[in-house]
Amino acid sequence: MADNATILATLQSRFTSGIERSDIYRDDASVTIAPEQLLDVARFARQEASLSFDLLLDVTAVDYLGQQARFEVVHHLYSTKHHHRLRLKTRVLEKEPIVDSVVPVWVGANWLERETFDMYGVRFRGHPDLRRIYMYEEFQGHPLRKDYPKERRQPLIGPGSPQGNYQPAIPEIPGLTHVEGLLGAELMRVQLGPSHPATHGTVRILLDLDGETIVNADVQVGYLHRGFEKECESGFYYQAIPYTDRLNYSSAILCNVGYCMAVEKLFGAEVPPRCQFIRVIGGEIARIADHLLCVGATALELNAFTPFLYALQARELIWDLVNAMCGARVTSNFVRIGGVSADLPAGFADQCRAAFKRLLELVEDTEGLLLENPIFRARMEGVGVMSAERLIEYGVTGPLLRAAGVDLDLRRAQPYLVYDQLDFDVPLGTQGDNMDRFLVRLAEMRQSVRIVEQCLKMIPDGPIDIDDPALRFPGKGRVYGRMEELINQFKLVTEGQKPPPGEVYVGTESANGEIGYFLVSDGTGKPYKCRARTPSFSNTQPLAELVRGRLLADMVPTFDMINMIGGECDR
Amino acid sequence: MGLEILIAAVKALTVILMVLSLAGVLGWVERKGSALIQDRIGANRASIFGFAGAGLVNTMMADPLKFLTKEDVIPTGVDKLLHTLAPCVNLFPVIVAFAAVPFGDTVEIAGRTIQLQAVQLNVGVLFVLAMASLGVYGVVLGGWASNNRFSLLGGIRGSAQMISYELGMGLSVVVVVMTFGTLDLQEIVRAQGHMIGGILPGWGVFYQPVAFVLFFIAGIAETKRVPFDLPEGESELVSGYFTEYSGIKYLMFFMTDFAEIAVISALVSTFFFGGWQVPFLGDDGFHFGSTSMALPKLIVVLLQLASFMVKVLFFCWFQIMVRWTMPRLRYDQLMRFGWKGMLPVSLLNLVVTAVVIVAFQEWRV
Repeated sequence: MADNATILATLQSRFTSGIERSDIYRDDASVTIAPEQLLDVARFARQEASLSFDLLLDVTAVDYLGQQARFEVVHHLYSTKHHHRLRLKTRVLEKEPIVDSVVPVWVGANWLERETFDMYGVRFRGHPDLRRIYMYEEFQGHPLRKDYPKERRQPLIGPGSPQGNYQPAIPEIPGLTHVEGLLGAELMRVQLGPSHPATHGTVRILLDLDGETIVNADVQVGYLHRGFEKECESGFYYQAIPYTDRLNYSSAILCNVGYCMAVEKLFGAEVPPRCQFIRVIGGEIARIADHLLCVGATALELNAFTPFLYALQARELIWDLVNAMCGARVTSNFVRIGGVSADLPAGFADQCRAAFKRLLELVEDTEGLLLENPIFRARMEGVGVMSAERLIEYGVTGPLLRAAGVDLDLRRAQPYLVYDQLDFDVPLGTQGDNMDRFLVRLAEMRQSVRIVEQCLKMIPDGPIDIDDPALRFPGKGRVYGRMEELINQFKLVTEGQKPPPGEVYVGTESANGEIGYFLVSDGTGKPYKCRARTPSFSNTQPLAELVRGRLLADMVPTFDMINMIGGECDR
Repeated sequence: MGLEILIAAVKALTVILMVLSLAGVLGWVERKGSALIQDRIGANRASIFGFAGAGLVNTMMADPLKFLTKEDVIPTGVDKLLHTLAPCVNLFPVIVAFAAVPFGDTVEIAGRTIQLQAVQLNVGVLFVLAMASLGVYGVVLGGWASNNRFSLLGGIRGSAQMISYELGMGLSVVVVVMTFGTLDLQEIVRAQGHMIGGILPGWGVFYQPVAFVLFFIAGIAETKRVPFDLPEGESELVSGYFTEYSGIKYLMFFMTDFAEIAVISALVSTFFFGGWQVPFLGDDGFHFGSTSMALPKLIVVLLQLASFMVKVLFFCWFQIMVRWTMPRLRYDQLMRFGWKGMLPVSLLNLVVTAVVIVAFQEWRV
């Protein structure tokens, strides 16, 4: 692992003129490069052995309205070899917002650049398929631009089409050229979704079938897009926490934790140890819930209904634990900036152990019905295989990547909270097929149980909140009786926490991979930019390639193992 | 003559009612059975005056009522005649197939000998197989007439699957026919009345265990149930060939499903488990070696009827158990299993049986 200074020095020695600015802020290395140099820098960052940034995590833009070089295109890079990060920034003019596409370097940039184009109107030169991705084709304007009012509504009809008879535009898709089938027959175009039993995240998959074989596929996401970033930018920092719940609603606490850590990083603050333990406990419990759903839903989609209900019964136990922690079950809104909403209740450790005991029994029942079943194995083994290199190129992280044998778990690679004090294994697969993905998830559940059990033993006494009035709301009891705290509370509620200007990126290991928050602060109480890099988005991207040439029925377990969570993918 | 017609009508009605009510019962058993497996309570809402204890009866009444009162949607752009015909074509052969299945021996009422079988056919086996094959038309019609690509795929899958598995089914039945030397289902059952070595009932399963396994698997495939429910395949094809059906037509597809379970169970009992035969029970009572227990004829007949029902219900239950523990096969795996797995095994079974029968004439039952 090269430290940030070395990374920047390596880049500067290679590109003497192209690098306009480089800095390290809160341990994040970032360089600003001239637009014409972007592709070269990207290639160099990927190929240079001491850097080898092989994983493109995120592409987005920041809109500095009023400045001549209005848009700043931001790339976040990660090296699976050295486990270090880099942020590339490129300023483009308002008149001509064009920048080189980095698809030739990382395939995974495809959707990310489409999103940036859709949201900000920045065009990418050399992009193979620059369509809108979230909004519909007839949408006017680019919603994340600062001059697009949040309140503006647009009718969901195309220009010229009579109201109530909306026919979605089906654009020409480069991947979907019309080819003839095996016997010279015409291909059959089938639309899976957005309302289809197998697409439980609201996604539309256009398939061209030759008999039952998938010749071409186009995955269209965005049906659950609700403007996460726009909403966050229009509220205070603390108001965004419930929105993060609704990213991955099956493991909400993990999304909370990442966001609050990012805001704390903007402040340069660290929460007390007890709080860190509680966050780990909450997060790992949420991870179990997420994996249970994924494992159960996969069984369900293969028509093994019984294991699904066993898994959901186990998940019910998890929801009871979350309920005990914070009074809510699914979208728990548990973590706070600078703390958590409540301390662990009395007797929580015993409740946890009892729940885990039953949970592991149920997981064993689920496994027992599936793992030894030849039909299940035949459906999962050797299906949806993709090499580790290709997955990384696509920006895939999490269990999918680990199933292909890549040892990348941020809890181990870049330990945050108290993960460095805990003893746990990172389960890895060998083949990278659906069976491995399934097994990795099962194994991760057991590791999470192990982690929580250790945390319950190790958790120290002490405060759960940062003792900093600028950051953390005072407790309700004190607000009601004391003047100072009342004023403090009033100021925080009406003005929000005000971090110093700067920008940070925090990546944490969520259930499906790296969930990263990129926050830009301008010193006010509202985030200037609040970007969530979500694993589901990047993980869904290779789906078309994974199913091409396979049978229609193989779509189902592959899509399930990707575990696309609609809220997280579409934001 | 009039009496003959009356007797025939009563028998036909009995069979139809038996199949339909069995289908209704199975609908309830499937719900309650799956609930039992899955740690749930299951159907408990259909109650009369708050009394849910008679769940079976209530569900049997509530289900058809619900479907009857639902709107019958016919999508635009479909051939209305074919669309309506499909569920009927699907349900009809299943009920008719039951006509040849004997559910008891003969009874004598007022000097008249009555066969407990709707129709006495000396080619009963062929008739049953023919009716099972007709079922494919309902599936194809439903898929074709729905003007829906998922339905079409389901229909294609269904026809390919049913035709493929008919081979294995037919060959395993041929073996049974060779063993018992008759095509008459009643004769096949009668031939299973003896005891092997005085302890083992002379059921077909003990002569042809391989054929039993093959027939049962092919039977589940014919009924299009898990793990062979690809034509429905709801995670890929929404509901397959009956995606576009609602109301009473949907109920007919639904009933076919359960009626097919009942027919397959009846056939398995008939071919391999002695049909209405009760071990050690002869025409006049039980015979255990030298000791015997005389019973009136009526009791014997009732015992035989009960024996048949118990066997049928057991296999229905078994199929439901399979349904709730197995995942679904994939299309190519299904075809491979049918053509490369079942067909060679059943051919081999046929050859071995033929050789054994020719070599040891006396082994013939």
